[in-house]
Amino acid sequence: MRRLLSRLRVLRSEGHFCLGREARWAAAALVLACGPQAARAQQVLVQADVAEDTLKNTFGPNRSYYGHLYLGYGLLAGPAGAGAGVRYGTASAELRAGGRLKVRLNQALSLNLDLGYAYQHYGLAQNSHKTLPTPAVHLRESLGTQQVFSEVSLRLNAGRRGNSIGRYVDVLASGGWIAATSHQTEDEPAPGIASVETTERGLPYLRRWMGGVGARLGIDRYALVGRYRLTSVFGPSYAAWPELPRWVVGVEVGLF
Amino acid sequence: MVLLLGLAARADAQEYGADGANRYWVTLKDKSGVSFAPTRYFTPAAQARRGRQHLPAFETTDLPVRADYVANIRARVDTITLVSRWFNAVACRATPAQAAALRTLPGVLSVERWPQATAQIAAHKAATLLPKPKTNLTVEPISASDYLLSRRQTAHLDGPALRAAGLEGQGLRIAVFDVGFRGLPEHPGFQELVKSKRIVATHDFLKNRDDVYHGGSHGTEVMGCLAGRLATTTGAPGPALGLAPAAEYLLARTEQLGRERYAEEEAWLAAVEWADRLGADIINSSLAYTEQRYFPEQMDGRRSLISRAANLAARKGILVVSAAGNDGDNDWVRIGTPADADSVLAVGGLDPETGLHLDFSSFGPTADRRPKPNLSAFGIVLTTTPSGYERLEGTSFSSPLVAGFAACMWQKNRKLTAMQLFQELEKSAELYPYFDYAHGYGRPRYQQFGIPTAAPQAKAPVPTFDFVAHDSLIAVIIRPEAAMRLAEMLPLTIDQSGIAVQVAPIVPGAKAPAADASAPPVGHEQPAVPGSSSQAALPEPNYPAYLYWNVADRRGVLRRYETRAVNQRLVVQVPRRLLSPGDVLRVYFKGYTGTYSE
Repeated sequence: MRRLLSRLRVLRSEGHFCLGREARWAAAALVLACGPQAARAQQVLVQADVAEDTLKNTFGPNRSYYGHLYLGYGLLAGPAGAGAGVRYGTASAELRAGGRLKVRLNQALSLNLDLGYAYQHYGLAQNSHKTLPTPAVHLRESLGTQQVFSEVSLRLNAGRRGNSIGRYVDVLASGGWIAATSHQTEDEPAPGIASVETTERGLPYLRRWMGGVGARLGIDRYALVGRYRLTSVFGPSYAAWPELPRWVVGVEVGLF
Repeated sequence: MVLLLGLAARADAQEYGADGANRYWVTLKDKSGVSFAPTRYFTPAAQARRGRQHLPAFETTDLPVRADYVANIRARVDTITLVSRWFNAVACRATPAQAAALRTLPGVLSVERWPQATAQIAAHKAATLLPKPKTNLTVEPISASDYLLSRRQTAHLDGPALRAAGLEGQGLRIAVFDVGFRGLPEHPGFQELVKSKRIVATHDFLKNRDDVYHGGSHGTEVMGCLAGRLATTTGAPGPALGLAPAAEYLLARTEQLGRERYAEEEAWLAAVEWADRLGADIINSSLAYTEQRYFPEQMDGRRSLISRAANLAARKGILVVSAAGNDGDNDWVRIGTPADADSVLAVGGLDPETGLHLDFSSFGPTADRRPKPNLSAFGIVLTTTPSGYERLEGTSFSSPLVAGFAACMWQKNRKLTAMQLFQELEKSAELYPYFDYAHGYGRPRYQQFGIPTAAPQAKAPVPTFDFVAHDSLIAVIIRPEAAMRLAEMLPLTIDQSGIAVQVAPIVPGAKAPAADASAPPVGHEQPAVPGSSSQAALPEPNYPAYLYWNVADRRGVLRRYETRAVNQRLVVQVPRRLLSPGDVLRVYFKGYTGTYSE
């Protein structure tokens, strides 16, 4: 106790004040009696650790690294081979969801690595020229693929900006593995039966691995995207089959 | 691909302008040979402002840009969007080839790309859908709690005492830069202002015309906290929502909600030169540029054009008041620009419920560790909107409240220069000399304004606590006499929040009472006289006494700071390991600031 009290001092302040001997004893006793628990009992209303608040981040839309999720919707476009006509519009579309890791190389250049899931739906046109997968004409017929994809893109940003995505053009290359396939038909077999739907899964004629290239044009979280499929939609054994449309043109919305 | 290319071309056109042009900032070398007559260029008000502050009638930055240089540029580019005297520069739209040609012109110092930008209005509700203004505005009655807030937002800055002293900004000219002032002329809260023709000039710097009553209502909301009044059934001027209802105003539209193609900083610069010429004493700018263009580490007051322009305005005798920003609770955290400028009075937001920092109010320091914000005021207010009155939040409204207070203080002492006023405002603040990056020096106080330290009224504050050094910690113990809780009487009315609103007699010139000592002596309370709103005693917020402490390094840069509720006399124990050699522990409690260093 004596050693402790010898360390007790009168402390400087902007006003001049002096702690009396009795007050010093009382104060020291109070500190010892209460201990750190007592101070913890006090309610902190505003608190800041400046060093932590002013740390330079490496993670952000225009920092070294950035990651975010996104959703995309696109329509199939482009010519189809003879006998492989599709119904354009929402009947033949793609829905995708993915995550993106963006690595900034410099203010104008970044590299994106995407991983995600895409569902493609080809609404096959039912006409007399139809050849695939069979010439049979149905009320409705479609092919569906569920794909796990990976995409690499090089981003060119335009203009000086702060910590924001800004305006950009991406040049992308993608690869995907078809995890599931389906062929659906709908028919009116006989009067009194509204419709009969059939679904075939695990289609042998669809290719498992896909590859493509594309471009994306964006402002902050919104982007217009176009992808061109380089690989045939059908497997090597079905190379003679007419090709389905190779283009998908759509929009993406970043979730950040 | 064709579609994509088409889209790419469109985006490219947006970036480079519809005609392939881009924006460039052309800095010129000199102003030699230009003639200038300050008495013809500056209005009498502008000349008077310079005269009062013993500033030269003009300086080099006021000289016009050389006409031959401008003509040369004009002949080679598509459009000139700004000619800045202050920066001896020209902003223009040009193709890259034209820009390259500009570099070879005589008198051209540099040609830089001039990027696009998006500003954030420093108000939380600014981005919400804007209601259509009513042509024949009938104002809905406001709730009792809103009414109480409207009185407290000015009472918190000693509004009643200011009004009693006849300080309402008379003779001051305040420029307000904002997104638009939709609904202002027909709003009942501004009828007195409009009728007395105290809106001296208006200009839309985005569309280069005088109509500023469009484009958004944020300016109307900000103006409410300067010169707005509550509507009354009799048509008589109602209670003021701000502190400078008698000032003159210059309204400039410099900002646009959402993304835009014209650089807003350019418009701000044009507006500040315009305001200078028209004799503005104070500029209120309730906007903050943040991450669309900058990084937090660039908020050093030198990076942005707008902060450099604001500093130049201060040099010409204009007090620039800016909202600190509303990014305290997001990733940005820090103040934006122009609040980062050295000579700009950055104002943070306080919660009317607690008197403490609002979460969204941006924090200091600047990137180069200068202390910001400077002052604070309510960040939740009742203000004018095109549809009537609304409770809004944002440091956009803290800024005009302090700008109005500054106008009153300048009215009180017109001999002060802008920077003297700046410093006196800081010194008058409740927490001064205590400072932290959330509250700045706190709210400015009328009673403390301009009192020299040697003056008899400036008694040394009585210590309210002691530092007690322990082996491993420093304890702060409140003195018994400061720990007394005064007997409280029942308030006349009570706010919904439960915070007592007291009817306190206002004694101009008296020392600011400590928060819990503001209860008037028993028997001296005076109820408000109905109908005499401007002179009546007003409700003053009555917050508990908080304890503020911080640890600063030898350069004065804070390492950490806290505000604590005081429930017991042993209120803080700071571990000594937090104190490096040269560090200072500073504590504020009930008007007294003590420091401890090892």
